[in-house]
Amino acid sequence: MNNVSPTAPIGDSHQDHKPSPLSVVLKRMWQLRMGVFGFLLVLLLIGSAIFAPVVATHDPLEQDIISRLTPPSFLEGGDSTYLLGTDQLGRDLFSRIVYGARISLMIGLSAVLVSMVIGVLLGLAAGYFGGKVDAVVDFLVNAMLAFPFILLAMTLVIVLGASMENIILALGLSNWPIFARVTRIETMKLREQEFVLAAIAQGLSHVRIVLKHILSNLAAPILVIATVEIARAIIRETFLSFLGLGIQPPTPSWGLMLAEGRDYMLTVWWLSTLPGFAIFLAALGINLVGDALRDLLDPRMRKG
Amino acid sequence: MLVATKPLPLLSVTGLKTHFLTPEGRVRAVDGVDMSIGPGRTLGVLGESGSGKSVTALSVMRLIQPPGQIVEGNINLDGMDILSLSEEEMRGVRGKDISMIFQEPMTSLNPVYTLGDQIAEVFMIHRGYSRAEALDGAVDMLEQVGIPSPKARIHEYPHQFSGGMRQRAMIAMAIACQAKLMIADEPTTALDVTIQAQILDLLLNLQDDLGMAVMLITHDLGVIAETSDDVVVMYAGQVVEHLEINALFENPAHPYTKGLLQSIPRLGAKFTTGKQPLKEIPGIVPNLIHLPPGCSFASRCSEVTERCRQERPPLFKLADNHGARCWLVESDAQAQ
Amino acid sequence: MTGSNEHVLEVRDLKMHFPIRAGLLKRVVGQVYAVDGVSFQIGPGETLGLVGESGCGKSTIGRTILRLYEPTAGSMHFDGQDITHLKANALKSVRQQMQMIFQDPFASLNPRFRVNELIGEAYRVHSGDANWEDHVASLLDKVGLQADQMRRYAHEFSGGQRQRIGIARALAMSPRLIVADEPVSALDVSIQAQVINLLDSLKEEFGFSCLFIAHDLSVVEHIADRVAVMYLGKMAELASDRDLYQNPKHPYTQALISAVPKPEADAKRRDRVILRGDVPSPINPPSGCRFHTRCPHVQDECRKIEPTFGEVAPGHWVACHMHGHSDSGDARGH
Repeated sequence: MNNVSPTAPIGDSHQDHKPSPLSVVLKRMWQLRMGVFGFLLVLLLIGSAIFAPVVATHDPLEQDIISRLTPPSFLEGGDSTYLLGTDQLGRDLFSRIVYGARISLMIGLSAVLVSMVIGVLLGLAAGYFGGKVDAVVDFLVNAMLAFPFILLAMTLVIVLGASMENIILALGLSNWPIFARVTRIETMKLREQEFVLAAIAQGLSHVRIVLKHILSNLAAPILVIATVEIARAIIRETFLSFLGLGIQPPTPSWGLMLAEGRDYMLTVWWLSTLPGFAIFLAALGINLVGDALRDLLDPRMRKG
Repeated sequence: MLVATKPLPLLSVTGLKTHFLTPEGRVRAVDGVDMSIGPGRTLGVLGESGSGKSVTALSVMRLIQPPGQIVEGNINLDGMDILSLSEEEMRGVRGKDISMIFQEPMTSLNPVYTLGDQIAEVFMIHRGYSRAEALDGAVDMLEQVGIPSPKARIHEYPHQFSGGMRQRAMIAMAIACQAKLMIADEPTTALDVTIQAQILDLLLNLQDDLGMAVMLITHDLGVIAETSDDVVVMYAGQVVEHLEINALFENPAHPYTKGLLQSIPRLGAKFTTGKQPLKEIPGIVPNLIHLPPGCSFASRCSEVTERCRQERPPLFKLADNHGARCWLVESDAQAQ
Repeated sequence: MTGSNEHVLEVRDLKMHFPIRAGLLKRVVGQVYAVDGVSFQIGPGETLGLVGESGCGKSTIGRTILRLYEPTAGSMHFDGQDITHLKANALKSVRQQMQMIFQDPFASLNPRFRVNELIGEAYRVHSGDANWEDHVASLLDKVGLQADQMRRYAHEFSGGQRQRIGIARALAMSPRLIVADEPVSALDVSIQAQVINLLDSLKEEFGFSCLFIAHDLSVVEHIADRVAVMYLGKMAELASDRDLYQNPKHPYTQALISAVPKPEADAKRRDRVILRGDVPSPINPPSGCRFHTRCPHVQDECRKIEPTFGEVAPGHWVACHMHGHSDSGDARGH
């Protein structure tokens, strides 16, 4: 039995000297300062994506050949019109990076959504029903994991064509196993919980139990995994673009910009480095938020 | 301040305050506790969750981790000032002068070491035995606690033992160095009642043989009755009553103590007095962060007065070995 | 309500074995004989206490009755209907008539649900009543909680209050039988009395039958009309509360009663029966009488032959070679 029980049960009438909700929140934020930092980065990412037309200084597709390969404004030879310089076709790098956030975010979120839906459904079935269902899902998971991601994604893109939708599909289809595995384990744990037994004893249907009772408790672990997978999806899109199988030019995708700037690495280094830095910040921010979410959600669940 | 009648107490705790500084506030788990145990005596610490009984024991062993800390107080063991010892010195005390056994023997025994190794470790560290000598000592200990075929069993792992056996093994570790004081925190709560009877019997016999004092922490009035010489009743971080064991059943003064005694079902009572609803204590334990201004038990007390709600009562002395923290006994007593 | 003579629950020679699987191919390498041939009945409005120590099978019986498991052998009749192997829809409708209260007030309530959902979900689904929240409000009132708190989450309540929520949930569909599996064991002593009294008054008011499972004999004896003692998957003794306490016949029952610590003065060092040894495992139960390894009165016969569970006095059943019994009433016997 836990002798230290600070949570106030209902019915306790004496509530003086309570710390203000604000101070509790601020204390929490300091404890999770890494997560707060990550959250700011993510906010930056989302902000760029949503407000791209407002934030960007130029049209990302507009070429100005005369000004091609201009250095960033903070370097020698730079021009304040082009904050981060221009690429080989004279397009403003800053604007392209800002619009690139849209692409990365869209792909990251959508791909994870696809993986999540497939993985969670399979994991729920495997964990709840066990037996043969579990065996089949297990086989599928192992088969998928045996496939190198690149091979799978490449094949899909080559067969289906390199449109944004197909890239999302390729990324989504190749990554559902992790959702399935985690969902399966968590479902198996939850299935043994007494509140599930109670639901069965009340004559509720399996479908209802799985979708309402079990799924509602899976939100936390799945959310944590999802945030990390968004970052990974963004990076994987980068690989695909690098190989020419990702977003096609002239759309400003960070991965594509990395690839296009490859030839200029030694001299015009900013063409690859700056988009690369954007990818790094995005992935870092998302991962830090994921970590903080895990800390936030875990102990609270155990408190209940 | 509590003093055992004679001789000088082995363990003396005065004004102990152990608080936990959590994000939600300061949890006053132990908030001004006095208790003492005479050599060879058994002190029963009776309390429910949130009473501070376990935290008191951990404080005596200096096992409190942040965010908890001992904020105030004095702990004296046979002349040693426990709170002023360095960590290294304290390590020399734990297991040797004071030993502790816990409620869940599965989690307090290391699953990857054999039982023999774990008991032997106590000998090697505190007595400087060689490994061979220590293992012999372990066999002796297992025999003393009534584990059959000890020579074979020292090579087994905790999971190969039943709950009762594991608890015996824990006791073996605890008595290995013939500690003067053993703290037992709910030692039989997780065990079946027939096994509980065995373990309590063992503890009492060992106490006779070794002359050790025991602090037995429990919520079970029956266990207290069958093991303790003196009792301390804890509620919401404080001692609300201290008295001798027979006084507990014949002459309790504090309304919480009285309430507890009346609320437990007793075997056979139904057939002498006819079935009556149990006399319950309404309400729940207060929040240890936001304690009410007056007596912590006021919200649940059937004899509460306005003064009880406003002022915290001190511990009143009713007799040499009887004190109660309640305004209602003030007229029968002198303030401590 | 059915005729007063018909038992609400009748269990005959119930067995519940769980296979133990090991190895890559998950072959069955043994069985856990959790319940191994148990027979009893519960009448309308009656409370049968089921007491025993770990591994005795009492919790398994409770869950098997609710068909959370399907029995390995034997039969169970609920209100005259054979529910032993019922499936799907028929099972669903029977399930509404028997409900369970669980031991752990923290694990038995879905942390994501609000209290009104927790209590009223099944009622709403099965009855389709649009005013289901009114029903929940009245239930909360009956268990001593405030109806205006039904939108809160379970973790905002204390352990005792959560157990009350669990009781309200069990009552929601007005069941004929409630199986209470260690309903007060996880609660503080001062709260136990509240919940025990609540259960007693609800039984009076609603008239349901109750199978009260616990390891604490004092609690069981207080609340039950009859008490059954289980040991290692079998019933050792079954009698009225008074007969069991005043005249226990099975040596295990005697030891159990003696082992209960007595909260009274001068209790230290009283004479008791202290059993030697541990409870054997239900995977490998002893031959003959399962209790023979610890019985203070063991004879040769006990090691080889299993005693039958028979009626040795009116309403008093024992499985022990020391107590011969009449050969009548075999329909209910073992």
